[in-house]
Formats: sequence, structure tokens, C-alpha cells
Amino acid sequence: MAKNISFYLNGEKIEIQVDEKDLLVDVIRNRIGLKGTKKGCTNGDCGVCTVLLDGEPIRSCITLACMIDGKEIMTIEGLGNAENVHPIQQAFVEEGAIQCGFCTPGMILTTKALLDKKAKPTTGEIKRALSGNFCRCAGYSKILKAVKTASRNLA
Amino acid sequence: MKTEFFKPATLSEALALLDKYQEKAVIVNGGTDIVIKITQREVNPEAIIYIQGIAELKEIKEVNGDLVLGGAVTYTEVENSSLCKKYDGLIQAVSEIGSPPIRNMATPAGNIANAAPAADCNVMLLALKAEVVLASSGGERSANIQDIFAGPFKTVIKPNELIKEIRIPQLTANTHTSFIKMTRRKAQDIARVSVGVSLTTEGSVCRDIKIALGAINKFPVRAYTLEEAMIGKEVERGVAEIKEIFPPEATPRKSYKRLVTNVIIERAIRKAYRKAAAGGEHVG
Repeated sequence: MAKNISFYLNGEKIEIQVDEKDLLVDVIRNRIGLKGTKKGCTNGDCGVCTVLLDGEPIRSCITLACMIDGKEIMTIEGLGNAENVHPIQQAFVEEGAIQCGFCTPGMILTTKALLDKKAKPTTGEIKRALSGNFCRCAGYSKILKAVKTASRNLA
Repeated sequence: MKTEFFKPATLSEALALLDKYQEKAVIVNGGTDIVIKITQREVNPEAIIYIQGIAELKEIKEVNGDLVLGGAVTYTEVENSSLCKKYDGLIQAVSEIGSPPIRNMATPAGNIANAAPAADCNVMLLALKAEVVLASSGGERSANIQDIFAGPFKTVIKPNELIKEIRIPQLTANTHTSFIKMTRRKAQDIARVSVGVSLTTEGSVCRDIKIALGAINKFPVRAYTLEEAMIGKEVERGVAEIKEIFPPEATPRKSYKRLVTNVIIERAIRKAYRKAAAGGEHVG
């Protein structure tokens, strides 16, 4: 069995046939070929598979692709690239908030959703927003700093 | 085996599908529990019925003073709802579930149906004496939340039924609610012990109290013995008296839970009482 779905991915309309049980993360990575979205715990705990659904962070590893039919999804590729570095990405680079980089797309997208809602979040608000994103290099203090820098740079 | 995916736009459409597929259907709400079971093949449904497209299940409203949470309302929607604000314990319980992205998808109704022994919101809903309205193509029935759970991850919800809404009775005057859970981490952790309290006071006297315990038994339970010991007494005296009484309703398998349960109960009662003492005559 298969189902045709259509959705917007980084502003571009995607029409694709998926299996009813396909996970969104697998469709994004293996079918569409965007590898910025990572697959980690596959339980919704670690945050590396974070994408934005209509602007809000969700876990693509516990979301069926069929569930996002008709919706708007943003992955890290939609935010910026080497030629057009987004200010949040720039802040992460400047502050050295990237070690192995595996958690970084999820961290940055979660930060984007936060800053879209609240331009000047407090430290507590940043920690709360990022509480579902794990950095196993444990570079949290620099990530916090990067979010604050991004908030300043975007102002 | 083939699996079909359905996204009904109305409740009656969803109920007709449930009628047709019965136990061969799974309802996907936020999906945060069930999608893992689907992909790990713990369940092999013939029909996946995704209910987030049903507008009539997405409402939070007040009906005759009661708070009504639609069956597809997410935790984030509860957290942001002005109608839910006065239920402090409910807000405390839902705002500590998982992480923000989980709460953007996960739902109170889904957690009731999943019936995990440690699910935070279920514990608080028990303290709030919530009712669960179950719809099927044959009609509706309503069940107290305490009668819904049949065991860990087991409920009395029938294969053709769907949680249409959760009704939380209006808080009586001078009633304050609280929720506390003991976890190993501050964020994104499953409760080891959780307590929901609804406390009605008159001055410094406890007029009524409901104490719900989570993550201790196979499903959330009320500590009736402690409730009875508190009612009619000064809150402080009652708290001092129940300190040493381990609630007989609780049957933890792990010994450390015996050591901490009473502490968490005391903290939760004090948290609700502080609100009362702070002068909040509750505008219900």
C-alpha cells in the first residue's frame, strides 16, 4: 500500500508517495535526500530529528509522514546554507556552539521557533525551550550563549 | 499486511471507521506513544485513524462552569489556554511533560488511552475528578477517570470508542490545586512518584481534599485514607498527622518509593495550601 501526500518543505511543494507507516524523518532523509535532519534515539527524546511544523518544533522520528499531509515543514536546509548563513547559524559558529554537530540542526531550529515567538528570551526561557534537545558533547553553555547572540543579532 | 491511513474530518466519520475496523484500527492523536508502537510493530493495524483533523475535537471550552478539553487538544494548547489557567495543578502537570516539541503533539486524551502508570496529566485529572466522554457510533457514555484504567497500558475503552472530551468539574470556592513529581532530571523525565492535590479550605481548615498518586501502582490511585484523615482538621495538623501514614492504597514495588511518597504528598498539599493562604479566594 502507498499513499500520496503533498506538503511544503522549506517553501517548496513536495508531492510524494509514501508508505502509511513511513516516518517523516525517513522520508526527509532517504526519499527527499535532505540529511541535515538527524535520526538519533527514534523515541522522541533526543531532539536531533527536530523539524518545524507550521513554525513549531516537533519530532520527525515519532511523526508519520502521512500526518503532515498539507502542512508546512522546515528543516535546517530551509533556514540557510553556506552562501546564505542565517543569523542563528552565524551565532552558533561565532560562539563555537558546535562540537560534533549532530545536535546542531535541532538546536538551531528550536532556537528559531523560540526567537520567532520571543525576540529577547530570558536564560530560563531558552533553557526551557531547548530542554528537549540533547548535546552529548555537553556544550550547553556555549549553545546558551549562541542563542543570546542570535537574539541580539536579529534585533 | 496492508495498513490504510485515514484522516477523518468529522467525529462521525472517525466513529464509522472505528466501527468498521474495531480492534484492527489504531487511533493516532499526537502520535508520541503510538507511532513508536506502530513502527516497532508492537501493533499492526489495518487502519490508522489520525484524528488531529477533526475540528470539533480541537476545542477547549467552558460548559456550565466545567472545563472541557476536546479529545484532540494538545498539551501546548492546554498550557496556553486562558480557560485552563485557574487549574494550577493541571498547568503544573502538563507543563512538565516531556519537552516542548512533545507537548506540541501529545494530548491529554492520548495519554489517557495509552494509560502509562506514570503519565502526569492522568494523575492530576484523577485529583480533579475528571470525566472522560467516550463516543462511538452507537452514542456516548461518560466514565470517571478512575474507572478508565484497567492496568498498565490497559483501559476499559472499547475498540469502537474514541475519547471525545475530558470534562473537569468546576472548582468549588476556596479550592486550590497542585502537582509535584519526583524525577531524576528537571526536564524530560518520567515521574518516579507524582502527586496531584485538590484542596478546599475554610480559613486554615481542610474542608475537602483529593490526593492522587501516580507512578506507584499499575495506574493512578487516590489516597482515600489520607484524604479522610485530613478532612475537617486544620491543614497543618492534618499534614503533621498523615506524615507517618503510608497510604494503604499505594502498593509500590520499589522500596525507595515508600521512602519518598509521603514527602511528595506533603509538598503537594503545602503547595496548594500556600495558594489558599496567599489570599486567593478562588474565582471559580
